[in-house]
Amino acid sequence: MPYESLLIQVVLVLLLAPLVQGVIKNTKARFQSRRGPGYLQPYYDYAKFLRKDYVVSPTTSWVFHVAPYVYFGAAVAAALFVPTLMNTGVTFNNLFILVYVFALGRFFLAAASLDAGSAFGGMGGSREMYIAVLVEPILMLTLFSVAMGAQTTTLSGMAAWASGTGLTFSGLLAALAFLIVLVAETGRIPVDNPDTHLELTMIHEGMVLEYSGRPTGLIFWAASVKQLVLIVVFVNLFVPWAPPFVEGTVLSWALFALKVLVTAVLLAAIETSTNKIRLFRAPGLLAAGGVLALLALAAQ
Amino acid sequence: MKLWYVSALCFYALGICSPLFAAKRPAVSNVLAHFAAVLGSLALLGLSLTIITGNGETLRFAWFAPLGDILVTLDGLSALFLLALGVVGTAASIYAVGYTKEYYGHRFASMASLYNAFLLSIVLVLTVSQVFYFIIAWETMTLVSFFLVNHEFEKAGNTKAAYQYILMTHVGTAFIVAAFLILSSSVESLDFAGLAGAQLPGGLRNLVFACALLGFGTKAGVIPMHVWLPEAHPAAPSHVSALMSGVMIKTAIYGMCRFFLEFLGTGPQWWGVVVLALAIVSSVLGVLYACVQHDLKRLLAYHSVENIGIILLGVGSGMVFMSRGQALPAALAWMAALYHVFNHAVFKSLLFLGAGSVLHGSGTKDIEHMGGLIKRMPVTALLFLIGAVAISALPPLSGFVSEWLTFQSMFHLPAAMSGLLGKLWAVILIALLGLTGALAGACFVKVVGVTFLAKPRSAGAAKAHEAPVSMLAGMAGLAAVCVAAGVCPQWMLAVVGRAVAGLKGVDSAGMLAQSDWLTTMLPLGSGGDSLAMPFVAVLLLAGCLMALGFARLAGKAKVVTGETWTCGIVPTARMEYSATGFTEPIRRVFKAILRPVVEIKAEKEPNPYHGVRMTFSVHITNIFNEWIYNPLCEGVMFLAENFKRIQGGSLQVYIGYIMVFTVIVLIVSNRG
Amino acid sequence: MYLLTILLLAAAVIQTRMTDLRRAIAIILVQSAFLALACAVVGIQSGHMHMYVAAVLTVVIKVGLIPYALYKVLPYLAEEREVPTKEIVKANMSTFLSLLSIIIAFTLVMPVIPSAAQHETLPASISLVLIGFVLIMTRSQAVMQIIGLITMENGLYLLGLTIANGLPLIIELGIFFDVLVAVVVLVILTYRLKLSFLTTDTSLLKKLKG
Repeated sequence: MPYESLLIQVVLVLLLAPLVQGVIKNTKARFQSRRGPGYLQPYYDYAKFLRKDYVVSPTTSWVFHVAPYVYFGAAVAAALFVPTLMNTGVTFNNLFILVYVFALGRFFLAAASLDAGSAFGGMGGSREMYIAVLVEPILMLTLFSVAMGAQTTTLSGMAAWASGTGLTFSGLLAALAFLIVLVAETGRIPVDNPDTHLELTMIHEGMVLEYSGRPTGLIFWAASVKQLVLIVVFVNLFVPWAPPFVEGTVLSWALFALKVLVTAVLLAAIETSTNKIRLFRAPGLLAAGGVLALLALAAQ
Repeated sequence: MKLWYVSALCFYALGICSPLFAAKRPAVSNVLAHFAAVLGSLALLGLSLTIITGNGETLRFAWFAPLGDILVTLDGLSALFLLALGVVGTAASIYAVGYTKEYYGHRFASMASLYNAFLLSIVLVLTVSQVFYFIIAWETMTLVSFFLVNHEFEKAGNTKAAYQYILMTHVGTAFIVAAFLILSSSVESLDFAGLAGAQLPGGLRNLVFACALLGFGTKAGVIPMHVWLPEAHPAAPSHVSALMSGVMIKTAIYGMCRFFLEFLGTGPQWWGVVVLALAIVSSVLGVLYACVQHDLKRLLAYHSVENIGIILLGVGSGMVFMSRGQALPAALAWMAALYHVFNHAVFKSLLFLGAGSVLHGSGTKDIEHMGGLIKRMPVTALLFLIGAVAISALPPLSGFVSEWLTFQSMFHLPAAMSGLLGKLWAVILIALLGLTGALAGACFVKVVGVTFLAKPRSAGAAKAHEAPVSMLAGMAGLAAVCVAAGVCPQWMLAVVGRAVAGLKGVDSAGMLAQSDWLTTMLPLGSGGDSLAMPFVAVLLLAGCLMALGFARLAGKAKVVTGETWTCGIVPTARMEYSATGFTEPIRRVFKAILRPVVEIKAEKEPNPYHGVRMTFSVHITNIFNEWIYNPLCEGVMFLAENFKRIQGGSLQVYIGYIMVFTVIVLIVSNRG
Repeated sequence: MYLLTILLLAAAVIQTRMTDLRRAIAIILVQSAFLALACAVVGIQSGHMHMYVAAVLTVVIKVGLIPYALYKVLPYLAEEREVPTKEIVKANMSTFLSLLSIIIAFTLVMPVIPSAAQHETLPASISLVLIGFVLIMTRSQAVMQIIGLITMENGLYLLGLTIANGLPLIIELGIFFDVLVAVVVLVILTYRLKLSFLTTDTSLLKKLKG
């Protein structure tokens, strides 16, 4: 197994994930006519968080302490085996493993949200799991629309197939569906609001409300890694204008980076142009994603 | 092999008799009975390992038996289920030593004896291969478990649950007997080996299929025949619940395997589609109902319905593949189903035993009254968490492997189905299985979070104590198996491959041909689908270690203890999110199915300046009772009322009936 | 044989007229004696040894033991006669029904019997069975119902005789003991009935209806 490419990939994803987060934040600010934080701001934030002391409620148990590490571990594991930047040669980069590795991190974080015994954390955890219940089947459906065509469930095989077939009507529908899932899974408007802890809007941010200092840094970093992994999956499967993954050439690096950046900007644009929908309108939005994915399957 | 088998039976028999001799001294009979049960279960483990490593064997016991020789077939399929029984039986018996102390003086001896009888009857069901003795063993299993469910008949509702259980399973048994009799009358043989070659006309074959599906489906708890399950499993003592949920309902899957793989062989495609439909309904509705429960054992029982659904998804896809003549995916689907049988047996028993510890420690089954148990019962909490992660199908534990196999087999289902609608239906099935997994995850976040974390919500939970060592040991063994079957699934895959090896239409050897100790390689589709669980586990571990490393690198951070911020008031347990609150969004989204009825009562107090006490309760409507069973009951009662009219009460009228009937028979025979 | 058959039927029909239990028992005794005779006749005709044994058994059990047991139970039953007016109605009813059953039996069975040998015996035996039914149906006295049962059994026995020249001995023995036990049980039940309800009128059993 090509261990060095695995290592390069995970280091790159870990390092670049905050940058993508910074790009999204900055672009969003610009769309909203603000100057916004610099692109590198997330790096400063996470570094600061990791150094800070943290307050832990005496109500909590070891689950509260372990959860951020598991969440981070799951995100890193996803970054390791998902062929994000390069085709690492890991054979089991399976779409189901991707879905369930993320579910593992979410499971622990949601359990920890109940640990401090406050109503806010519990509410955030409850809503996170509720959104996850809706997102997971739709995510599978969308990935399936590519996997069915490729006749394999490995992400690398699917990416190779997608770039081979090029843009199709079915692919377009699936891309739309995946975009909805991407927005929901990364906790963005219109499903969630990543910028506030307000009771009415919070989902993901509410869940991690009880954390401070170092664990917060880990959680935010892991969330950005997860975001980058999902964006890369989107790029590789649904933006098939060039071969997936980077190869040796500078052109491929540039092309890949461009695709990721364009997706990030797209996310920022979506966030700016829509408003947060009510929590119980989210099933409608996600069901629309599901219908799109089914149409994509039927159109093949 | 015969030695293992006979010694297992003898140990159980010893366990049946011994507590009755020492009925006056419960401590002695406790040790005797459960020690015998442990030995018997260990012998079963030995037996199943012998079968798996060697060849199967058919034993013939030509005793005084009136209906022909007793045949015992020990083959790969039996071995898999015996393995599950051996693992669960050993753990539950060790656990029972500590757990059953509560029952001293409450008909203890009969409970210990029946427990052994229950184990014995399951062994017989899984091994006997002659129609009559199978049915006798099957009924014994039902009866013994009925007595165990009804053991605490003083508690309200237990007797009703027990009778509902025995009524439902008896109806099921009638279907099973019908299926067997149609088959065996066509081949004029009562041996299982003879049944396999049955050549039935199409209609009769479909009838056998339907009878077997209904009969075994009732025992397995397939929706809509599941209504007994969430009532009976919580009523039984916890180590018995573990066996019932872990192994007993799997005997129905065993029966289905025998019928659909061996006796009936490859059937038309719609058989598989019917099984798939039942399976998906069971899994989605089972987990939905589980989500909204707050009685811990009932919640786990509903999860059994869900997991039976997942197992049947594998069974159904296997049948579809077999009907298409695709031996490789069929093998994958059957192996996925059987793998899940084993996994579910292990983690569900673990969870039931954990629920028993919680009940033992805190004195309540209602998770709304728990909380903070992780501080008082740390080991139980850890073991329960392992079970919860496993049942939520999260890597790297065992539930994930079988769910992954099920997903992979269903991935090839659309290609095997005919027509666009069939294909879309297959895809929707996969999405629904995804939904099931997500709901199970949400449900167990709730269970773990509300039961073990935060502050205790009642005095009982605040005074909870850790379970004794024997109980923890039993659970720890199961947790270890959960990890082992998850992190290195290859040995278990070999076992399930062995279970379906050599059957027509299933190519398990070809399925496993490209796998090695590290990677499970599926030779399907365009190739490359694989799973390397050890590697996944290492990656996850590496990720966690990386997080630790980063934290270390960043420097030393101090941990400050500070009370949870609750806007300036002292936080109490009443401010915590409750189990009912946690699943409120899910209840709301699926209200078309769950039909929650919310009841808010405000108590008026004479003093208007004091707060009014409000009580909030949600009641979930059981649509199956409302739509199927209540009308059915009413119909039966109505018929019975009308039949009562012919009961004149007078002997003469009855004799008159006979006479009229005699005359009619005379007339009819004359015409004929 | 014909004569015996006719006598058997006649005894059964007369039985329906009986209101006095003592005489009713006498008649069933006579009927069973005819049956034993028929048995012996068949034995003579076919030369089977076991028919004699059967005849002797019939005499011992049906002519001896059962009537004896019934006579024994009678003293415990104070009002052996039923209310005369009601009884007459019942008797008329049962006679009418028994004649009807003879007609039914003969019209139904006669046309399908090919052989001339048992041309009448077979329908006669079936009508005996039906008359037994009629007796049990129309009479409410427990003892009369026992008598009805014995009539039925006699009919079945005659059936066996006529069709197969007698059944195998072991089966006949079985039937004998069956009837004997049934009668003993019924006698005991009658006695209990008397104790509990102060009467043996089975129409009172309606109270047990669920």
